[in-house]
Amino acid sequence: MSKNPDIKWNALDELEKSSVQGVFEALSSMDAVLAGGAKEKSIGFRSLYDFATSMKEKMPHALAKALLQEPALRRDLDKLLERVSLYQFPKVAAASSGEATGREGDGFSVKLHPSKAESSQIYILVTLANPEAEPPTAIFYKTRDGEYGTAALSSFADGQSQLLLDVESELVRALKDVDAEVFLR
Amino acid sequence: MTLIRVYIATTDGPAEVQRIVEEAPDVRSVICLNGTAEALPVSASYDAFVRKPTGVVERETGHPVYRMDVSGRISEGHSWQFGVFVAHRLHSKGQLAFKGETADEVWLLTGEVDNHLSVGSVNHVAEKISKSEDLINETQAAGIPLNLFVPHDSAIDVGTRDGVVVVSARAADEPFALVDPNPIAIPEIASPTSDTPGPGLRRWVVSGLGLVIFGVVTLGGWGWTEASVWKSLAEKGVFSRLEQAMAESKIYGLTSTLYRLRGGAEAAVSLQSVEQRASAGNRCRTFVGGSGGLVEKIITEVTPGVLKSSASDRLCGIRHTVRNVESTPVYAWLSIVRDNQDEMEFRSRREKASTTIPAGASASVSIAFSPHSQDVSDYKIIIIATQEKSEDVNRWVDTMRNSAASSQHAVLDRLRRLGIAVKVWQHQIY
Repeated sequence: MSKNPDIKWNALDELEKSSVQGVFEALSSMDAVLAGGAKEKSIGFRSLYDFATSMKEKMPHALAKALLQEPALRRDLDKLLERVSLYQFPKVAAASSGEATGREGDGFSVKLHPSKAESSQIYILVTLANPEAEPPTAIFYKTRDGEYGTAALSSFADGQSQLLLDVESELVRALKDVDAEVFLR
Repeated sequence: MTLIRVYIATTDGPAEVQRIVEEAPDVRSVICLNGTAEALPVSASYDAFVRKPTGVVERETGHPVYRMDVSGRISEGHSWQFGVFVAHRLHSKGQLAFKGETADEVWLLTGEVDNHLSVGSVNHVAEKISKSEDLINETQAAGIPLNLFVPHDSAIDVGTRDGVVVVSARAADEPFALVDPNPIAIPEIASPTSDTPGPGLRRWVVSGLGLVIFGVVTLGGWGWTEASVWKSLAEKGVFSRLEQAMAESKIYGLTSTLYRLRGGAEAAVSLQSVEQRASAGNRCRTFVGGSGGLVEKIITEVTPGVLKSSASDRLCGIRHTVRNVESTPVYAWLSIVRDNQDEMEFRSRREKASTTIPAGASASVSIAFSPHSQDVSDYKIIIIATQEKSEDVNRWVDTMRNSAASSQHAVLDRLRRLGIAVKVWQHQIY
């Protein structure tokens, strides 16, 4: 689904990003209070914000555990990812193998290309339809089980960024899974 | 065949080129660390160095995307380019020692390479050599020759070292002079075959017609003298001056006829091509180090200028041999080019070589095919032969690189107009 083009995370300056962080933190705290779980909650909005806006490829274990346990926290992260991402890919149909070979969307595509040199490795090509468009810097995913992950994208050349990963990596598994959600930030 | 291990000199120590493998054209070239999925940050620059039009590797090998594995990190900058280019050239010739293979020589390189294959100076050369001490000592202890290639402008930073051959290079293909001092090897000196009609017949025709021509020239007086001048220029290999003389001639048609009847600049050569194929159940790689024999078969000429097609299955290489059937030495340029309908990629994928071939002798260029991919394409084998080495022809032949097919054909036509022998054979690998 396409996002409001007037609100792009990467277009915000630091002050604006900080303001957005504050608003989300307040909303998160309010959700926690309304849910009556404020005093037990050890994971705050800052943790979600750090994950969604930094380049940390491995989600902290405590955050991952909290996300699995707290639907409200997952909703917050989903909202945040929607806000900070340039693009969220729509659901994808499975190929004959039952696995997706990537994602196609408005202005962006993500394709999986098995390596001829190493069968245990696979290329992920992120392509901009318009090479002059603002390039994303990271790719996020949310699995059908509610697990989140991210990977930093290499710099774009001629509208393309390429990653090389093990075929068993979480990101590759998520991209092959038609039920996983994929975002570009 | 000599197997060579290539190291890229860096300020963190030498990085071994462990292997090179072709990847699908859909992706971009990468340099990975030790066979892992870790693509080094220099990969984007490597992709640009490989892929046409900016890259030089695709121009050499005909393939646009590679994965290269190295043993150590290579930082940004461009000093890795010399080593990478040489590794690719060796790989295309089947002479790059992969990780674990026994190498006959070790090459350590640093330098930038531009689009014209000139090697440019780089910084920190002395530091890179200093960081290679362990490699140099280990290689010497193992009795393996080590050649150190540095840009010509940086050679002063290196000094001398016992047991290390330091080569200052101006061009990226200079290292190959060590492997093959004459790009065309001269394996044998054989007598010209007795049924060769070329020079004897031509001389008879020239002599016979010469009487007639003499009469014509006597009448005119002028054309004969001019043709002699042209012939003299051709014999000296100064074809740009010959071209100018032709342009200025007032009796071009007459003089040109006389010049051609006197043989122009032609030198008679023949071609024999031989397939080198792995036997059933074997792979080409088995033979790259010369550890086993190949099944050889002469490729016949089905019609003049067309060689019988070759199947790519287990095809490890093709040896093209040029034979000088003159009674005097000839200078020959041999090129094998991929022949697309719209583009003739000069030097693409294969070789360009030139050398003097003594009377009756032959000279060969062997082309190794990648054991990792099937090479299916149409090729042209082009031989240009003159009686003398010519810088003019060298320069014109070089301009054919990266030119459109029409420009390349124009060069061949230009050579023919100057009376130079230009022979072309087609060969399909399917």
